[in-house]
This record gives sequence, C-alpha cells and structure tokens, in this order.
Amino acid sequence: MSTLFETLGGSAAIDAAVDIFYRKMLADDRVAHFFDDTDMDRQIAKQKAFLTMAFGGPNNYTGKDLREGHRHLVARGLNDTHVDVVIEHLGATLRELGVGEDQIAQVAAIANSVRDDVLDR
Amino acid sequence: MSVVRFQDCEVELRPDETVLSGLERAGRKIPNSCRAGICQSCLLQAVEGEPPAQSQRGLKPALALQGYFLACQCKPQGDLAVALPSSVIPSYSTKVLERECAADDVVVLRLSVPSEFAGRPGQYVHLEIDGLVRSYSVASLPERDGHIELHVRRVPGGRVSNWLHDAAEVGTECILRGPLGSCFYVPDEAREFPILLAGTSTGLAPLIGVARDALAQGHRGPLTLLHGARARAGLYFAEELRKLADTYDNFHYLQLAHEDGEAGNIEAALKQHFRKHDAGKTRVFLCGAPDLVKRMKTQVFLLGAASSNIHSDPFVMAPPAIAA
Repeated sequence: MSTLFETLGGSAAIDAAVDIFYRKMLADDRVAHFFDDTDMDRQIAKQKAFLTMAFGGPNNYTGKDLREGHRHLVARGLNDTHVDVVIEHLGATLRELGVGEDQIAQVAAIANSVRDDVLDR
Repeated sequence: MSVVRFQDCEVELRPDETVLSGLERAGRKIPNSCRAGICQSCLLQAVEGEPPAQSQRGLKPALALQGYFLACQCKPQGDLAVALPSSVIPSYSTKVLERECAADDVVVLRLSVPSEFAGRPGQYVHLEIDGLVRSYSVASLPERDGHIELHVRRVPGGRVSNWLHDAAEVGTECILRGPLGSCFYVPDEAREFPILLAGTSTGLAPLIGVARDALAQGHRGPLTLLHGARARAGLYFAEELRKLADTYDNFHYLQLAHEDGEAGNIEAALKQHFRKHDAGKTRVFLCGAPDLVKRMKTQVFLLGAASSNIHSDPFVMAPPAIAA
C-alpha cells in the first residue's frame, strides 16, 4: 500500500508546495515576524523537511529536534494560535494543488501530532 | 562495485548502498537529516567522477554543474572522490594587470588569469594579503577578457581594502583562491527567461558579470540591472552600462541613488519591475549589503519569484566585523 507521501506525489509534491506554503506564511502578519531573522534558503530547506514529515514522508525528525528547534520561538511567544495558522496555510496550499479534503485532514492530523513537541510542553 | 574516496578513507559501496550510508559505515560523519533527497543537508561535491543525475535532482543548476550532489540519493555507477562543500578551494598566484579608479571609494582591479582557473562571472574568489582573506566577486569573463576583474570598495579602517586601494600597483602579486559560490548564469535551450539583477555599491561586480556572461552567450530574454548607491556619485560604471544598454536591445539599466528619495528606492523599483515582468519565470540575482539583500530576497519571493530562481551569495559583501 502506498503512503500518503507517495499518493501526494513524493518529493515533486514537496517542491510544488514549499513556495506556495512559505509565501502564505511570510505574507501573514500573525506569523511573519517569526521569520524576521532567518535566511530564506535555509528556511526553504527547513520547510521542505517539515512538509515531508507532514505528508507522512521519510524523515528523521525527533521530538527532541522539534523542541530544540522551536524553543527560541516559544520564548518569543509562539503558541497554539500560531500552530493553527500553520495548519490553516498547509490546508490552503494543498487545496490550491488540488488535493482532496480527506488527505488534507490526514496531513493536518500529522502536523497536529507534533504540536506539543513544537510548543515544548 | 563503486569505490568512494573521502578525505583519507576509501569505501567500497555495497549493492544498492548510497554514498551517505557507505561513508557512515566507514565511520564518517556527514551532515544529514531527511535522507530522502529533500532537505539537502547531506550536500557533497564530487571532485573526481560523475555523480548520477538522480542525486542532483532539485539542486540549483549552478550547483549541479559544479559536481554537487546529495549523498543520500547517490548510488554511483563508477568511482567517486568526494568532499564536503567548499572544502576544495584551489589556490593560485596572480598579479595586478590594471587598476582603475571607478569612484571615490571604488577601485577596479584586473588580475592575470592563472592557467587552470575556471571561475565564472558572478562567482567569488578569496584574495589573500598578508594572511588576511577577503572575498570579491568576478565581474569579467576571465577566458574571453584575459583578466579577472574585481571591484574593491574602500572600507573605513579595512586593512585589505585600503591596501588594495593605496598600495597595490600594476605588477603586484597576490594569492587568489576560488572560485566559490553559485551565483552565475546558466542558460537553458531558449535563453528567453527574464533576468533581474539588483544590488548596491560594489554589489555591482557579480551583477555586471552575470549580465556580460548572459549577453555573451546570446541570452534573448530581457535583462534588467538595478544599481543602487547612497549618492549619485557612487553609481560607477554608468557609462559602460549605458553603452551595454545601447548595444543590446534586451538590456536595461536603472540608476537608483538614495539621495533622490523615493525615486531612488531600490525596493520600490523592484515592485515596479514586477508589474511589467512575469515574476514566476524571472531569475533573480541580488548582491550588496547583507540586510538589504535579505529584505530584497523576501520581497521578490513574495512578489512571485520562485525560491529556486533567487540567487545571492551571502559572503559576497563581508560584514563590517570581518571586513575591518
């Protein structure tokens, strides 16, 4: 049986989604300020890794990585509302790419499953 | 079976084994994360042998041309010698052939081209003076022009830039290392895509390098060069750029002086530019003060340029702490 990642189109789907998704994040005042200090090329690579995980693809993310990687943002006020924004833009991105609602719900569920790690609780 | 050489070790890959797994089996630590060809953190460079196309998927063409590949996706057909990115920087001796004062604080140096030097316009080199190393971008086509042209801005208190301004003469020898960076022109079949080049001060060097290269390779799409400076007097090379615009119908040159207020605002000019040009198809090259480059990168991305089409070399302008 093929994985969600494969059904969505594998790494080609990541390439197609990353610019759309990251543009939505940067254009949204609710979350854009978290990216003020970051280098765009490095961010794009990180967003690709995140999307791969959210699409159920191969990744080496651990809860520890996610905690450490976001701790400085939690200190700057990252909370549940921002995770909601991420999931919202993730859904809108996939909708733009013609992905069905049931698959969008699966992706949202994976993203939701790391919420506590990201928010360091 | 393929043999992979890395630093002082040699590994014979097992059937279906990747370069990343093979090197790890040999006890080598290679940075990596997704192991699926996506995050690009296991980027290596082939110094001998050809990495398979599969291992270069998703890389910027400029990187692929220089033999970069993803170790986690690489199952080579033949033997490979590999290195971590930018650990292979050849060193050459060169000398000053010509110097030109282009503006009050800018001297243009033309250096002899060492045989074997394979730098492309827009890439950068390290100049080593008395044990100090600074980076400068290549503005000329070394093979065609017979020299390596560098633009040096005088940095207040900067030891290397002041030495290059005041003490370097025709005939002065120095050590050059490079080339580095992936900020250069890569043609496609049609050569019709729009190119936007934007930068300030001596950030002009790689931009004019890319423009000269693209035009020399018969690029047919529109090229727009936006050059910004604090004062109008800092917009050096204006005559040469106007001449280029007269010679090539598809080359456009715009001067932006900060002292002219809104009319000289480079970010406003970028916005204006993409009202007329398709951002999604444009390849963008940015260079100049790091903060401005970062803002411009975000801006052109939000205006619709694809992240894979935005090129900038972060080290082209050394930050003041290093430039001093």
